[in-house]
Amino acid sequence: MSTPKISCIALIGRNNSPLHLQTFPSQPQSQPPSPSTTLKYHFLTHATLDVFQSRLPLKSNGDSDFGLLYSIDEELAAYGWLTNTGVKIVVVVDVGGAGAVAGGGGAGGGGGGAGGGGGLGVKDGELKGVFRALQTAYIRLVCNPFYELGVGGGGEG
Amino acid sequence: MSLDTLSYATPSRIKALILPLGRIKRSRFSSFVTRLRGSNIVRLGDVTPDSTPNRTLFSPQGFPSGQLIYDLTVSFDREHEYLESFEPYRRTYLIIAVADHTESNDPEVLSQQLEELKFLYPRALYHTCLVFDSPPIAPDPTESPRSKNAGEERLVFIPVPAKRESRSPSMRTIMCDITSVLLSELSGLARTIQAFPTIDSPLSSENQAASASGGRDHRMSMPVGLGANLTVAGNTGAASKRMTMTGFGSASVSERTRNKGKGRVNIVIASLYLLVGRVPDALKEFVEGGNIAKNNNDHLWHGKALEGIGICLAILVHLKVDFQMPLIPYPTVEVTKTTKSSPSNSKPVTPSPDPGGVPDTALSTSPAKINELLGELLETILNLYTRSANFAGESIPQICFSETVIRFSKLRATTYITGGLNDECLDHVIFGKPLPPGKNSKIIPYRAEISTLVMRGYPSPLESLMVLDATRVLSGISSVLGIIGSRRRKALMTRELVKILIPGLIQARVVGAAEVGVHPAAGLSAISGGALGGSPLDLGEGDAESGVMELLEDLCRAYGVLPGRGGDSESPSAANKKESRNEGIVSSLATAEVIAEQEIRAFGWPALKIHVLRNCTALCEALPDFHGVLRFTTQLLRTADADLTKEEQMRLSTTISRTVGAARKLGLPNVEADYWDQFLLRDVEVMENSMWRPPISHSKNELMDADSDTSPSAPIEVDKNPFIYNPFLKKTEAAVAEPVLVKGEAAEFRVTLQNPFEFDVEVESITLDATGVGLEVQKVGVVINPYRTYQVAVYATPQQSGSIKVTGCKIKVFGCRERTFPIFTEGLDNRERDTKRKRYGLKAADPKVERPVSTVSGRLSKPPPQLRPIPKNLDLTVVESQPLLVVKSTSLSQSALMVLEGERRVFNITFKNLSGTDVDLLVFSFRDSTTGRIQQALGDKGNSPAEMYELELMLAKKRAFVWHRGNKATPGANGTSNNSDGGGSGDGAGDRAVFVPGHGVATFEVEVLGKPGLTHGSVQADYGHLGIPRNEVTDRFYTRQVVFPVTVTVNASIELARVDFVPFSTDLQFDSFNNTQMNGVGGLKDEQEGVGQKGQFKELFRRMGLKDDPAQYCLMLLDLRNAWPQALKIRMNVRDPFSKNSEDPESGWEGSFYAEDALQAGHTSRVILPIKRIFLQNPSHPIPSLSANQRQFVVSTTKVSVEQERQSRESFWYREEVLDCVRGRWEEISTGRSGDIELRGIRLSPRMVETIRIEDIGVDVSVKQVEEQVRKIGPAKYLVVTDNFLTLVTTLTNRTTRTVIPLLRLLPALRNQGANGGVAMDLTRRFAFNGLLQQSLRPLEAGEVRVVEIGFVVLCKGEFEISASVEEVRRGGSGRDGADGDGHEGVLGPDGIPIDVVAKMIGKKTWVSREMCVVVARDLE
Repeated sequence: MSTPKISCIALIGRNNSPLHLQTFPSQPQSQPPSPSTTLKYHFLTHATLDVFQSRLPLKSNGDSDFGLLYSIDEELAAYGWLTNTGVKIVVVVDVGGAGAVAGGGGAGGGGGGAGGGGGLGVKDGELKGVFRALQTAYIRLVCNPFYELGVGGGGEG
Repeated sequence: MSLDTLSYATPSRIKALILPLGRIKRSRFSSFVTRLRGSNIVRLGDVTPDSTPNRTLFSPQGFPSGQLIYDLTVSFDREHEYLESFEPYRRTYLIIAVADHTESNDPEVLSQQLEELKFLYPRALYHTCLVFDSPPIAPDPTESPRSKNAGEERLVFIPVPAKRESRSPSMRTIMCDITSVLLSELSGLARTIQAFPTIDSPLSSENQAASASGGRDHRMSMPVGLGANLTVAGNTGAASKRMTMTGFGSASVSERTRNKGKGRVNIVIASLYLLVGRVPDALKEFVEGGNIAKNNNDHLWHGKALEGIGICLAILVHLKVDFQMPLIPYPTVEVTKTTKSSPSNSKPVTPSPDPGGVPDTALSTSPAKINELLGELLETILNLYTRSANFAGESIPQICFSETVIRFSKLRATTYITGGLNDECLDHVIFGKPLPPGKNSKIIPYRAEISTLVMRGYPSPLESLMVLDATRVLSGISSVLGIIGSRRRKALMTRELVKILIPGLIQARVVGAAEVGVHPAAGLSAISGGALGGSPLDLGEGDAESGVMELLEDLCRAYGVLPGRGGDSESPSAANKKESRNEGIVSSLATAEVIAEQEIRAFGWPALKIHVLRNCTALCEALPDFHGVLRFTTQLLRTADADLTKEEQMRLSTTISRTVGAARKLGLPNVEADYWDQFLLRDVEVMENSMWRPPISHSKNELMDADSDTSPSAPIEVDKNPFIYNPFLKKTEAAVAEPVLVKGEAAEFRVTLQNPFEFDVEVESITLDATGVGLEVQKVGVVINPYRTYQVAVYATPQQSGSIKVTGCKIKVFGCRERTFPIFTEGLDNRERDTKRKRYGLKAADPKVERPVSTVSGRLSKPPPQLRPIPKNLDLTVVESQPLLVVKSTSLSQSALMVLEGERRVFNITFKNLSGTDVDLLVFSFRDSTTGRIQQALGDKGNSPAEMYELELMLAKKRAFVWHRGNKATPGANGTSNNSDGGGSGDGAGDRAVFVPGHGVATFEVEVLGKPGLTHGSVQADYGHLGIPRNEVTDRFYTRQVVFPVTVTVNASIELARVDFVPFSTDLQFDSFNNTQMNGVGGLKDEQEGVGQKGQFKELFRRMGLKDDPAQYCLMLLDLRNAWPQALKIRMNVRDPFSKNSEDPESGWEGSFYAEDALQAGHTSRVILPIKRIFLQNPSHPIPSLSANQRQFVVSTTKVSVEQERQSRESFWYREEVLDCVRGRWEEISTGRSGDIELRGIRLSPRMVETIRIEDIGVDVSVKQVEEQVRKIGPAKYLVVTDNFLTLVTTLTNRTTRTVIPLLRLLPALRNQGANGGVAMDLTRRFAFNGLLQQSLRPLEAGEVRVVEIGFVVLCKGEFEISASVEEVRRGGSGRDGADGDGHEGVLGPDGIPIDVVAKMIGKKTWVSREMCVVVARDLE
């Protein structure tokens, strides 16, 4: 079962302020994700901003897929997407501990690493659908006239 | 500065430990270390080769152009001894003890301590001692120890001359000498190693055996490492130096194993060659060893060899030595195939690893090629290392792996900065020279690649590493990430580092405390007492801590907690600005500061910020670093006050107070934080002191206006009080609003503070921050409870007069630095901030760069818009010391008094001057309860002009309170007339400059007039100190006010019940004539005969005298009622209107007619007064208005006819005249109190007016007196003889100022007949006239008296009466005569409208003789 799972989705405003961050526990657990887990993803997502910044000049116009931003711990991989309005969508995928460094076991958890495939469990562009869906959902939310944009620090700097 | 331990060239540096020896000061020691580090590079060519035959392995002559680089450290690494065989550069080979010659250490002690050092550090090959600042001529101290240490011919004590004497070469020479010895020692070591059959891998079981525990997972744990060290340190004498190479097994016997061992030895020797700088030899050995390792599948050592080769190549490139590219022992092809394909292997730039292809190309020695080659090498190395993990005991330690990766990444990053493997890059890598500012011409290698690469060095379970190792790895990674500009990932790593450090530090504290024997909870004091030296992690005070702070601040910056680094460079300039520019800039700077803080708050991820700050605080607490703790705690409060829970906030506040308390206990006084809330100060206001009223400022005009009609030295007239409220003087209103302080008097400021937090904020002191003249402020402290605002009273005393500008408050909160807070009454306005975002990302956190404005356009353009919130400033004026008066006493009891209506009473009010300043300006003003009502009535529309006049008169002239001024009061008190209106009378002009002297007492008299409706009032005294004559007051002056309220009860006294006027009949008076008539025709004689029947009339006539025609009088009847329950005596006076004088209102009253009566309580009495009838030139004059603001058109709301209007005007004017001539006073018989009788209640009906008035044209009919024929028996009564020719004289008097064309009519009639009796009685037969009874006369000029005579004969006895009337012929529009002199009719106003309608509408007039002439005809006997 090396099926990669999305473990976290984050939306970052154009001012690099977080709009929303949602974690998805890889194991079905009754209790909500602990604050420390959420915080960990906060930190990880924050670090991806570097990649956005460094790759932005290389991007041609209209290309919003940033692909793999970087992988963390051989388990998590962060993929990025930049909308036209500067909103960044980051999806952190748990590739299921496939990186089998000797002795590197431990925290992998659910996907117990039988798949010997090297580090990347997600092919290039495979996440485009996910990003598009996320962007559509975001647009739908923003278009809601009753939604007060920027309450969460998105609107103002 | 110490060399970078994670530089790529680190394996080529030889480690030396510098230790202090003997007594030496810390600062001296650091300076010596710095000197040593300045010459840490030794060219091999300069080193004297050792002549000992068996120690020439590392002879410097082998590669003279090579160089040996010392890594001079001051810390000793005991943790990695198990790696020293694998990576020999980790070993410390040289101990340099540093002694200070100026401390005059005993040489004996020094040498003994040096011996101890040898035991402490047995693994070092050479222990030497440098005696700094020793005289150059005295090598004696070095001689003696050498003699004592027999057998040691090496240099042990080396004198180093003082810095100014020793030139740089001398230091280098010493280092060369040391190197020479060291090289020979190293040779010995190498020989020993070469003798070994093999060398164990660092993680092999044999190697582990040296350690106590065999568990692989526990090998890194700190106690184990410590234990190992302790054992080594403990074996003082017994353990030989060579013992450190323990675990050299001889178990393996097979050929393969022997080959493997040989290869390993080769590699170690090669490492040593690399260390001593003989790079070509090292390269050769590495290649050789690598080949062997490759052939024997010794992956670990193979990788090691390849790594060494890479370093050798880099150094060779740097040395610019031509060399043959060796055949690099790449792993074999099939091995490569089994290797997991790494993404970098498929890079197009990298040629596929081909063992045969690389070496023979000559151009491969170019730096670019080497650069590429290095990349390939690394891949291979990493693969090899990874693969080595498959063999038990042969895997690479994580620390080595990580460091390798980091070293290489650093090289890559340096290459990235310098744009290639050039000299700058290599200088940095090898010598640690600082990098030039990045030019970054190429973007190869990609930053992302470097980032990916360095992240491979991240140890997957970080917890598996020791704290120290993890610190090294993480700091290395973050430094690389920092170089390539990934600030956020760097921050992520730094945070990991911080997270690791915290438990480590705490544990270290615990361990340290345990060693010292202190409970760890004893905490801060035990650790920070550095003298105990218990903590292995005890940081130095100076640089180390600042380094930590820098690190943490950088971390915070990356998360947007602090503004970007750009702010640091700007802050001094901003400070300069603050000093140099004016206050406006300062205030806007304060605003900009607030806005900047607010923007940085809005930036970034709140959740991360809070967490990072918590980490920073925790680290600082673990250190312990008080400044840091305070700094980050306050920053946390500043950043996320609203996001923190109550408990968290409480905890933070406790942290602050605890830290400050601990620091104070330790005697660190300057541990203070910055207060976190910029909006602490919400408002500063000047409070009005209830007792000490602030002075009111007045402009000079007010003073001058007051004086305009009096001489400048005279006091201000009460009647023209400038301080009475005037709604049109807006300026005065504004002036009152301006707060004014008085020099030398404490003023109260209300300071509003806010505390939006969940804990108490303890404000130690609040001081006003004011510019201008001196202000002495009393400091106030206060504790603000959670979540509220608090108002504090701060008292300040101005020292000088002038102006003060309060710009804020200096507030010191407990634990915080005292700082100035500007006054922000309003909050931030988000809408005004620019919403256009030009920068984002981390750059947005950087402070904005001010765009340079060119001077030309700068002058034209408008000033920059004011930023919100605008700090409030309090502009205050401090005036010279002002007097302060209080009411000391009054003559009233309980400040209440009773007066009767019309009564005037005087009471005293005594002021005491509390200050030392004289009062030289004192103005009384009064308010009473009647004023308001009258004002209100005045405001009503629909008042007739007469009523308005009456009201205004009451308001202006009949004041309830009047200041009785000094001397004048005395005569006024007993005089019958007490005319308060006469303020203008000149006796006030005396020079009374000082009203109340300083600290003195003065009494003033105030007169109260009983008015109906008066219930209460107040005496207001405006006073001030001018100090100069009034006319010299230049700008403004200030007054204070003291108010004394008075309650007044007014009781009714004499009421005027009814008034009537009756014509004065001459008959009545001349009844006496009838009595005296018996005496014959004696004419009218003296008055005492005439008076008679009634007492009143008798008195009346007596007083009146007979100097005037009685017809000029009429009688005024007054019904007066005594409403007071005591008997009152009344006295009415009448004066002759001609005797009155406009200058002296009192004239004419003396000796005038009066009537007296005593009225019992509740009784009514009638008083009869003869009043002279009044002639008024123009009674239809418009009714004037007293008030200044004359209304232009008085439109009556009720429609009155012209006739009514005329009547009311006439009534008004005649009433005024009457009131001017009559007055009354009452007196209480028992007590003697007296007062005026109010007569203004008189209303005149038209009939009364007719009675009073004297006609314009007087018609008087009389009979010309002829002796024996005519006798006058009364004022208008004649006794004539019948049948005689007599003359009837009609006198016409024109009293007007115009010409009248009269038509005279004479109307004779029989007396005592009915209306038409005369006709019936056939008058013509009894009374004959010689002429026409109606005749037109010549025009009667103004003032002309004309006598018209007509003859007549009375034909029979009887009584006749003749009346006359004058009718005005021709007047009105045709008026030829109207044009001449008749000033009041037809006069047009300036706008062409007739001034008065009423005057125009007066029609033709007819005047009738007032009294008929009675003719009594008798026959002559």
